[in-house]
Amino acid sequence: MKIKALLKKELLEILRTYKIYVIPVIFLFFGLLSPITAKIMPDLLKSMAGEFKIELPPSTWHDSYGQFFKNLNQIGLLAVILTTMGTVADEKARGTALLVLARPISRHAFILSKWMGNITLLIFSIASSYVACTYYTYVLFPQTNVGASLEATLLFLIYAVFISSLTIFASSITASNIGAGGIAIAGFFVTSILPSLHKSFAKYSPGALTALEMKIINGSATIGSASWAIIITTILSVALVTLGSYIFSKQEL
Amino acid sequence: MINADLIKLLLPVVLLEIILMVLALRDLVRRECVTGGNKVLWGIIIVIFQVIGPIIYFVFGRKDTCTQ
Repeated sequence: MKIKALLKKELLEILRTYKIYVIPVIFLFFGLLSPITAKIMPDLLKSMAGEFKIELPPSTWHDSYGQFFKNLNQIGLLAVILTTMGTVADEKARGTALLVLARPISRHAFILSKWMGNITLLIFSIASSYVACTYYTYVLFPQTNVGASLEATLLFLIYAVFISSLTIFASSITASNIGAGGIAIAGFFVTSILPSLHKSFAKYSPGALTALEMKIINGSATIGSASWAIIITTILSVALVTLGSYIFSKQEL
Repeated sequence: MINADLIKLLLPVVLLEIILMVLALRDLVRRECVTGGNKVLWGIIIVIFQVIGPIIYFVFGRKDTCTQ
């Protein structure tokens, strides 16, 4: 059984379990809701202010994508961690990993197939939510910039793949899904605060991608300025999965 | 701006919420054991907390085997 067959098994498993509902539905949900929230936000704030008269400019397509990326970067990625944390750890706990690995399959291929399966789901979910958000933004706001929003979504995809890799790494090295979730959430927290600690982190660490998404939407940065962060994040993702599968191959099952 | 058009646009969002809720409830009904053992409580969580409730159930509520 080669990697292709393993990946097929992994994709089938995603189809059969709840994962197929949760991630695409959450992403699609925020893709649809964010433009609507952005549209009604000025009116909402005005009605909350009550007696005080406040003047707010009407929201634009920037706000729509602003909401979109804010939601996905927080709740979206948290959902990715929660649904991915059991990927390897659950199979270890249930003993099904042992069954699969009783056949002539390397443990590296086992982890790699899980990683690829999860990333396939992630790409599908992000793509569909982007389409939904762009369509709603197009309907609700007079102007949209498809190029900029596509670039920003690409950055988000790279960041989401990093978080997914981090979670699979945590799942490979721990024995329980709760432990894996704890490590992954801690890692997620650290990556999100690193950019505010030092200038070089703000430019080169994975967390920098989050800020760059909005800068690209607002037109204050180009995708070129994100290239180092993209390269470093991709290398880190590959390194995490490689390290995870290395530690997994040394474990007693 | 909060008008009929906006409500029409909200329909798919509500539909997604309902789909997720129904899937979670269907799983709950068919499952023998859940974390904490209280199926009614899980049902309430799924219905009250839109989107978040079903996800919490899918991640934490489902149990493959009944261990007492």
